Amino acid sequence: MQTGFYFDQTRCIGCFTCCVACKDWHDIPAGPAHWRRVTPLEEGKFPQPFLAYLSAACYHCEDPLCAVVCPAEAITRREEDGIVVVDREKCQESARCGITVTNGNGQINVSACEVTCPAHVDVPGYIALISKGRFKEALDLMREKLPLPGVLGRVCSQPCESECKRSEVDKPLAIRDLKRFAYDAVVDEKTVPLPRTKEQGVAIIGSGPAGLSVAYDLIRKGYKVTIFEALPVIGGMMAVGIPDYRLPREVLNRDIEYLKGLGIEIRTNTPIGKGMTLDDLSRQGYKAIFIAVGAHNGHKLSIPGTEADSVLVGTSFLRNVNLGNKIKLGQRVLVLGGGGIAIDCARVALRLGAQKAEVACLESREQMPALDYDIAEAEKEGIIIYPSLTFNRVVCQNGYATGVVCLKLRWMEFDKNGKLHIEAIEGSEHVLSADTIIFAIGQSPELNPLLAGTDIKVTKRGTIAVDPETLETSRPGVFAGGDAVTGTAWVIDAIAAGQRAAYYIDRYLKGEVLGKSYIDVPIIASDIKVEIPADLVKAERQEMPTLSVQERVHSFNEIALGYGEEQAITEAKRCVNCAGRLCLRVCPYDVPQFGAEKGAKMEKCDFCLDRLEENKNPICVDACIMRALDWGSIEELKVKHGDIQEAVGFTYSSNTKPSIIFKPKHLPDKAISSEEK
Amino acid sequence: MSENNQQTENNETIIYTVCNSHCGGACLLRVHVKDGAVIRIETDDGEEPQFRACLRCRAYRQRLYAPDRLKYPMKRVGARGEGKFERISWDEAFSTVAKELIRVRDTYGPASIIYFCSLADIHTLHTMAPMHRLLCMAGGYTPLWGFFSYEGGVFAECATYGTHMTNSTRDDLLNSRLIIMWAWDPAVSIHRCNTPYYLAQAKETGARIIAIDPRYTDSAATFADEWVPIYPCTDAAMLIAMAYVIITENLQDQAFLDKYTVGFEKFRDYVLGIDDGIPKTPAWAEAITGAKAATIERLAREYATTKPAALITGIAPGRTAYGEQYHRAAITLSAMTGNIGISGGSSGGRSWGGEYWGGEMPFLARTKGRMGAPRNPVEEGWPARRDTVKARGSKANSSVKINVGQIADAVLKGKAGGYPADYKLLYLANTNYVNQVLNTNKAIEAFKALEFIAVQEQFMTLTAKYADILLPVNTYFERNDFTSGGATPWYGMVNKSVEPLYESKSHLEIASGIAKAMGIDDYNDKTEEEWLKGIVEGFREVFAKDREGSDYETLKKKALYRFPTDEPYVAFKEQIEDLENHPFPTPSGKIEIYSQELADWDNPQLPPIPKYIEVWEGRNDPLAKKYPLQLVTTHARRRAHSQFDNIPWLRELIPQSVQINTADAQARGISNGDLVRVYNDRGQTVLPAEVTQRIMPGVVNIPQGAWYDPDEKGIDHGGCANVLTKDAKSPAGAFCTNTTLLQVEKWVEK
Repeated sequence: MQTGFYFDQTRCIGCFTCCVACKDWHDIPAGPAHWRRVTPLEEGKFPQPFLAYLSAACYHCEDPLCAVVCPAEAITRREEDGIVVVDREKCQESARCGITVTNGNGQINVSACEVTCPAHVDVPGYIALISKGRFKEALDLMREKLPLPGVLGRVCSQPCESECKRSEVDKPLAIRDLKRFAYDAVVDEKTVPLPRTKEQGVAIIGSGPAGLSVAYDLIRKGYKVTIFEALPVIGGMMAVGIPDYRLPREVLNRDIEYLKGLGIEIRTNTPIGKGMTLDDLSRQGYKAIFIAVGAHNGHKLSIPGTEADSVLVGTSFLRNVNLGNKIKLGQRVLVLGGGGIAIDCARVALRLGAQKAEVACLESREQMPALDYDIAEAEKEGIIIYPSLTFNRVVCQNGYATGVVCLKLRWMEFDKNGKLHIEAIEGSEHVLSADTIIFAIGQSPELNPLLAGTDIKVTKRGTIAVDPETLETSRPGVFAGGDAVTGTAWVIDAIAAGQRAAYYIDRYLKGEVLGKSYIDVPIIASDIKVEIPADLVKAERQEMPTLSVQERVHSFNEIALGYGEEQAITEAKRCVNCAGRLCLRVCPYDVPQFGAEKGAKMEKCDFCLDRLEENKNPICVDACIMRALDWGSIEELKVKHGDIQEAVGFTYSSNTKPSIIFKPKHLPDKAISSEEK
Repeated sequence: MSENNQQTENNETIIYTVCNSHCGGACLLRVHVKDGAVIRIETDDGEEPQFRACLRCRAYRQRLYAPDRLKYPMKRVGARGEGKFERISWDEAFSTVAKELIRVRDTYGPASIIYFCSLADIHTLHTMAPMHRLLCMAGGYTPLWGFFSYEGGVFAECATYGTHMTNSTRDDLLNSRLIIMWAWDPAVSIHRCNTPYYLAQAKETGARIIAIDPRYTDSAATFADEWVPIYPCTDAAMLIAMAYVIITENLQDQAFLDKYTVGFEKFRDYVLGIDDGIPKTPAWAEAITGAKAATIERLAREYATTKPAALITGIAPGRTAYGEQYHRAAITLSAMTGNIGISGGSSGGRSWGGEYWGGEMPFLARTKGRMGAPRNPVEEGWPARRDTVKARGSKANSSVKINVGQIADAVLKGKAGGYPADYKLLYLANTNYVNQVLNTNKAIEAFKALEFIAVQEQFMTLTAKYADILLPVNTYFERNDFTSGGATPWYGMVNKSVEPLYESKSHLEIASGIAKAMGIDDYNDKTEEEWLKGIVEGFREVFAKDREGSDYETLKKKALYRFPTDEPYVAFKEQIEDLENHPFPTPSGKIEIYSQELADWDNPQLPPIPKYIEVWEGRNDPLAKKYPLQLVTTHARRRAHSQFDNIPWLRELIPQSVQINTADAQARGISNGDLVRVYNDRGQTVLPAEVTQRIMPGVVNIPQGAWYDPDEKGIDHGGCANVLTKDAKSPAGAFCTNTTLLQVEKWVEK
């Protein structure tokens, strides 16, 4: 049996009497009243706004996840009526629920991992769900913020892990690997197209992570979203930059299919700028445009000899490989560059049959932008790294490269303007020999012919100029983000840019002033201090099994093999849950299940258990001056009221079936007359 | 207290009482009391129609026990307005007030004493009556005339119907097929208990509902099939253009007009432009109101051809310059469509306050003094007022009265400015006058000029800060009283729930104390209970003779006497069914579309037929170049006028903000939530902007009642709308809160 509320949206005038009555009955001090029952929503453009009210109390889910994750086991669902109740004593006793402190400013409820994550994914929430074996729900929770959990489970630069407070005990949590596990553990993920609630359409140029991120956020807000992709494949650099052994094609494709299933339209082989222009998109009725063309343009150094046939550019090389094009590659490959792309070029060359693949770069070993993990794996595969070098010229014979003349560096650094300063060691000149040389020294966006002749401004660095707050370009209504704005960065950065852009595009389309209204986290990880419990037992970080070096270098098979279930749960249990309040994190409706602080009165809806004992209705039902509320068993309510909908949250699966049904409010048939002429 | 306890469970006593906090409602409360303290509040859970209380009374516990309540009598020790006070005894408070009343009376004459008590709690005993009786016994005082809320409406009703009791009971909405909510937002202002509930039911039974309002109100959003935004101060133009459509298409109920009205032809000549060469066409109105001509035409046809149709005229458009004309026009339109006196129709009279079912009684008690006061000596010898119609009381009322909105002007100008007296002493109760009167800054100036100010208050309001003596008055939870439900037909007892907190006293106790200190020994020979018994029995005699459950003893237990509700009460039903025996109380005995009384005045600003008159500070005023936005000051959901503004549970719900259209905000670089400065030549206030499509471009809304909160530079940060309004009076006394031009800019702290 499930007890629940019936809520007649057509009658609710949003008067908040239910909220105040609830506070009076339970003697709750002033605090966020919107948690209680009603939240007014406003949609549409003058003169056609539509006002509706959604209830937002505890939904007494059929399978309450808050009860699943509560470390103190304070939340239970009553067998006889399905009412979810909190044991206040147990709730406050729980020492493990929230141990984060800031610089003496008292307890806060954010964790270092989530504030560090550029997309602010609820890491503690999904880790807790994994530790309880709730893999589907964990993935759902990731999807609240992440459009590409599969991709990020493989290739995320995982800045969260470097801030993980578990490292004060032993080693940081394997957050990325757990993410991957939850993703892999859920098979047969199904999506249904989301309802379109807004008239306007948005055009997105580029199907990389930034473009997909904007598309994901905007389609969830009800807009029509169309992505224009120049290449024959979807995914941008994820498809043509990252090799299969790190990101198998089927993982990327599953992420993309999920997004397409929501209703995002993606047109491949459709470059903008040649046939169709930006202006054409506006003429076709797209009310906002997001440019996310990435940075695919690789460069060579301007040194003598680079015109030789066997001198390649990293991005083109990887693109050709990923698209299955034929490549002429020698036996001894030298990659110039210290980033992830350079490392990938060398590892790909090895897999294509090169006898030897080496990497040489300007940076010292410590300064190399590539991830330590990837460098280490490359070295395991036999790739030699030559750090701290500057390159003078490519040595050629008969039009073919045979090596690169290098000088050793004492030090190098980029100043704050991005200008390079080096000090070479005199007399250190030597030649690194190779028959194929691949430049992977940085990429820039290809903005012609897309922006040629338009009023959209470009920076000196050749990236698109945007307002750093809103990501709007110099043309109103045209936004840009991702590598095309920042230069080469990580997938997660592109996703964060997409989230920001989607927020402002939504405001733009609603006719609102953009302003500075995007709320990022107010604190950085280094300011977060935790008090690790003294009795916390050390536990080994679980390592993922990988293919042996022998198995790897002759194929593009994925190297990392993923956790087994037991391993994943063991690893997830290592989370110290520093920020606490897991119940609120996993609640699909952000309903508090606890007293805000010690001594606080009950804040969670319990159907007024004390009134039920006296055969009275919950106070809100008896208070509603519109008689818009009712309560009882869900089945009986359905019969009694008819014409109802069940409340569903987007994020959560049917497992969390909420115990509320409502009569929805629709737009009046004959809306507003002021448009008549 | 024991005699009015009702029921005991868990050692809790449940007191049945009534909330009528000037919120617009009037609802039943069941107050749980334990160990002498209110611990919870419930509302009606009896038979339908239940009179369920809204959020304001549900939060009353936080008001009753608010830490900032005034606890003791105090005297001012700092400058006026500074808010510095010192605790004194009641004896000292009484003797100081008494001494000052005597001194001012003897030095300047009793007319230099102004006493004003607003409604606050719409009750009978602890309201205006006690001090009125005392002051009349002590030589008299200058009384005020006029209603802040709806003087324009009352004037129009009296001029047209001969009475201002023009409302049907709310349940009659269920019989309407078309409801026009003209500037009417009962979802927020409640407008008598259950009004939104009846609207929802009317909609569910198939009534079409149209909202005409500068704002897409919560009522419009919940109930309306259609929203027609129009500019403030232009409502009469739209109504008159609707009349044009009805006349030119011959849709009027001519038989009704012939039988029940006088002067329709003169109105028709004006509408068609035969008078002045300007036909009042929908196109003419479009240019004025912003509503499309086609919409006006369609609405006019719909209203004229759908029967019964209720034109519910909110009182906000009446709170504009020439607001009288809007109400006159609405009544005329109701007559043209024959909707008066029929079930499901409407008189077109003002939407609140004009209910016969007892609505009149508290007013009589309040103004005349149900306690039986002698005639006010100050009024003697002054001729009758000449500035309003007879039915509004021009005969009975003396011209010594000053308009309720004009205290500041009267104090500052006095006799030299044409007022009947020089004013020196002000006694205020139930009002945060400075905050709520037009042009707050001028009121502050006037209050500084007075010799003595006594204020009865519960909190340190802006007005309280200007008092010389502060008298802590208790809340209705701490005293007994009598009230009625207006358009929900009941009357009942406000039953005391707890003993008065701290040293607070009731109105009657305070007046008695002052009387004693003044040496007026025969002021009060009855207890509170004796007074109330008398009031109840007097009322019962008129309205519910011998009816079971209507007696004092039963009311003490059940709080309410509900009138039998076999069918809704319909205003003017008697007149429409039998005009011969029940003529309208006008000089002609009919509905006066043309009023000879007004014609005799020969005042172009108060014409004998309803006309559209362009306001000052309208959109065409040259001042609009400097101050291009029109202000409306609506009711706030979480307040009853200025009451409840300090209650935490209510404050957290809705921040005080200025509603501004997105286009206007964008043009000024304002985002939702930004602090903005709203200003004109009269004042400025800084508050957050609510950028929304729900208000039409060119109009901003600052909900009235937020407490003025100046910083050290004197800039208000509380969002007090009246720092901006103009203290001009419409010709028949309509209070012009919604006739104000201003500008908004992003606030930059300097």
